[in-house]
Amino acid sequence: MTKILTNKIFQRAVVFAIGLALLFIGLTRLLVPKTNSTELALGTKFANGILGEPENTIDVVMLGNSRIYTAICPMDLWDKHGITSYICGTPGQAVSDSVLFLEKACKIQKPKLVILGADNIFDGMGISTYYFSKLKDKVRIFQYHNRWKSLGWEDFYKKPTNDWTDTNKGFNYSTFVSAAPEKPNFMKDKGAPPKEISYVSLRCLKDIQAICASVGAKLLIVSTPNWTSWSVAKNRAMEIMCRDFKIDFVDMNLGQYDAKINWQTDTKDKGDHLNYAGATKVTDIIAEYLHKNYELPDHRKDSKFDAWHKAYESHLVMTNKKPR
Amino acid sequence: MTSHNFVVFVGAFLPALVLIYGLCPQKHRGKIMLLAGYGLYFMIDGKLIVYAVLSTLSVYGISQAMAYVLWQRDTELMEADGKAEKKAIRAKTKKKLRLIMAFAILLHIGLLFVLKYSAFFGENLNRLFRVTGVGVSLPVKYFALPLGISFYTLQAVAYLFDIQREKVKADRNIGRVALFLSFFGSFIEGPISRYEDTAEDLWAGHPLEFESLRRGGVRVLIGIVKRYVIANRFNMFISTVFTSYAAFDGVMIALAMLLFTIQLYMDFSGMMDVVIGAASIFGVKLKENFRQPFFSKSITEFWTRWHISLGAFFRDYVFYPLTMSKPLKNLTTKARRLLGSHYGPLMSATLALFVVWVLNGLWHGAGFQYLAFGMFHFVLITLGSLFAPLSRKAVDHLGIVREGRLYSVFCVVRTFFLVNIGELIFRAIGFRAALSMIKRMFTQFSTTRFADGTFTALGIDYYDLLLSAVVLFVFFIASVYKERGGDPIDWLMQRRTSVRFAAYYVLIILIVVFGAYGYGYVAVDPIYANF
Repeated sequence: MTKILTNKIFQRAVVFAIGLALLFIGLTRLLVPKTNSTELALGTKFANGILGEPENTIDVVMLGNSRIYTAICPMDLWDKHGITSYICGTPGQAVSDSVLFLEKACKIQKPKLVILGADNIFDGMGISTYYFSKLKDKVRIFQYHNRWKSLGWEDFYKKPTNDWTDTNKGFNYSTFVSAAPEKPNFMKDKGAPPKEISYVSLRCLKDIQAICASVGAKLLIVSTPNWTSWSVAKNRAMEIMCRDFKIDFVDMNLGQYDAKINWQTDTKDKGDHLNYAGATKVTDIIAEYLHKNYELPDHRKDSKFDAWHKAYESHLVMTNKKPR
Repeated sequence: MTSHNFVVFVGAFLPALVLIYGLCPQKHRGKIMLLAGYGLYFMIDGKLIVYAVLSTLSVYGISQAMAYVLWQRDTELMEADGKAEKKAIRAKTKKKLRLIMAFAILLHIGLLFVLKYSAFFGENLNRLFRVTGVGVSLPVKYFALPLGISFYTLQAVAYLFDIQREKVKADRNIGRVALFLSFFGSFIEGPISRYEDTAEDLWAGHPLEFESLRRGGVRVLIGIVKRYVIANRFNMFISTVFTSYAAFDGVMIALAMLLFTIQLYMDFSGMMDVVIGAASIFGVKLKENFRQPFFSKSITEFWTRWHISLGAFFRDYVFYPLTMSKPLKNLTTKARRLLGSHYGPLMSATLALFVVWVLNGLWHGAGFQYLAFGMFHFVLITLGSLFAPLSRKAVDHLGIVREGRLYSVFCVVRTFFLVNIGELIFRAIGFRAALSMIKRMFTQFSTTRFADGTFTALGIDYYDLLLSAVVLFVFFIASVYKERGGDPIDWLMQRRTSVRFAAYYVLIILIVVFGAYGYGYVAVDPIYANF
């Protein structure tokens, strides 16, 4: 042992490693965004808005890709049953990123329910993406490295703060209409075998379940109406998976939770995503489902949540709706 | 191989292998390397590993058959009396070896042809039948192409050729043959190695030495910098312009062409740095595949500096055998009498060169643009040879010093421009697209896209360009140093510890902070891995 410790090569390697670690720490501090409103990648600003919410005020955390943040409107959930919710959704969110967003959210929130969009379970992510995603989270320089292009003086001295939140609570509002093409066989292939769910997705799902258990939250998977990529095969796979994992599952493309979407008027991009008219239909069903199945408190009369009333006023202005 | 596999390769596979290799007793290290090769292959290509295994078994079987024929010859020669009998034995052996070699080529090149080219030829024959009204339609099948098949097939064929020529002896150790063909570094993108150069070293299980680890590690880092800082950065811009070329003016196309040439070099030579560096960690010296190609003064010289191992393969196993064949030798003799000592031999050389460039073009891919890429270089090299005496006279007549710096710079710039045109043909989505892009470069030369901001919306902004310029300048200086006979890694290793550490930190920071990965970038898959 003494021989190794006095070895010149070993000593130099240790010095090199310490130097590298210090360099990484320094650069990470420099590159880390100094506010949670920094757009690190498309949509992350809105997802990170949850970090600016007061502690333990969000009862429902939603995770997923664009299909979820265009379909469920947290402000309408507030209006209907006083449910406080936030969507940590990003475009094409990999299920491994859903895990990371939930981890981050649960550091300051203690949600009672976590809703995961069913669509990103099928993102086909490989094992290397999974580990790289984990690595990026632990060694944050990998996540923020590209900020060298937008560094300012304040990056050298300011401490990171989470001082911003989104008044739409992560929801993407659009009234644009672009009708979907006819698809006579949509969800009609009843005999389709279940689609394969990757090992990585299942592993991430277990991670999500573990986080939920640690904060005492329940997990619900929702397949929001989707004209372009949902199928009977995916529905069957989700049913089997949710039964095996003992997770609640709501499929809004089939059966009792069918949101009766009019694909001529309720979509903004030919059936890929819903517009606000479509989102209202979905939110109505989700609001009733949550109210009926989970004991979520109504915060509308709680003065601690005055900011939500203000946010709802902004929502009314944005949507041209009249107060009830 | 995808960019993801590359990350796993350098980030996890290689460090783990170094550790396992170092801890393993020397006698098992060759086996570890073999397992590593197959493991990596399986990780990247899954079930298609079957091709690599079967190919290895077949090469081994054929090599043993050749060894048997040669052993039989030697035994018969010992017992033979008289020159005539010995001559007959040798002729018989030669014939047998040729038959075995023909079988090997049929099997291995045939398999490559079926997997890689049958769909291309089938489709085009069917098109020809339709146009000419022949009422025949061939069935066209599409096959999944096993990783690196074009590389290991050439390595395998070269090994068998060398046995036939008695340059190397058929190895009885199947592990060594398998490792030579499946060495984890070179089956992806080469270099196409010769048996006598690498097989022994690979199987020997050399001990890990600090110096090799250090030098190899730096070489690997340099390769990653090339791929991550430069090649990835240009990818989105290049893809967009080459795919939707009709929407862009000549300046944008010219820029995409230039950036693709740089990208291809940085990607391919970067992969070679990684592979050669990784091999050197294990004490294996692979041959260089690049030698400052952009300092070439002619296209002929360029191809002795770019993808050297492929050029050497075609030279040794196609060009020389063809020019030394009886019909071409006869042609040379006759042509020399008629056309003199410059143009006479040129006839047979040009014929052989034509075959080489058809094969070279097709080796890169099944598509007319690849054939055109090959023909483009064939025409340039042939014209260069044809007009060499005339051009020498013209230059002398003008009083230009051929060895002078100014003329050299002119030749280098001219060659670089021609190489760029060749790479445009190579990268274009089809031959017609290539022609249209070249036409646009000369007829729609406008700088408006720079001014209106379109340029920066295509995935590279001015920060990207500035960073790329600085990094490329450093690589340029290193290339000048190499061209003058120096070795930048040698230079670095002779510096003080603090300078070396600073250099290592710069390389790591370049990759981690300035690497083009994550949101906003589309990483380029190793380009030559698709061939």
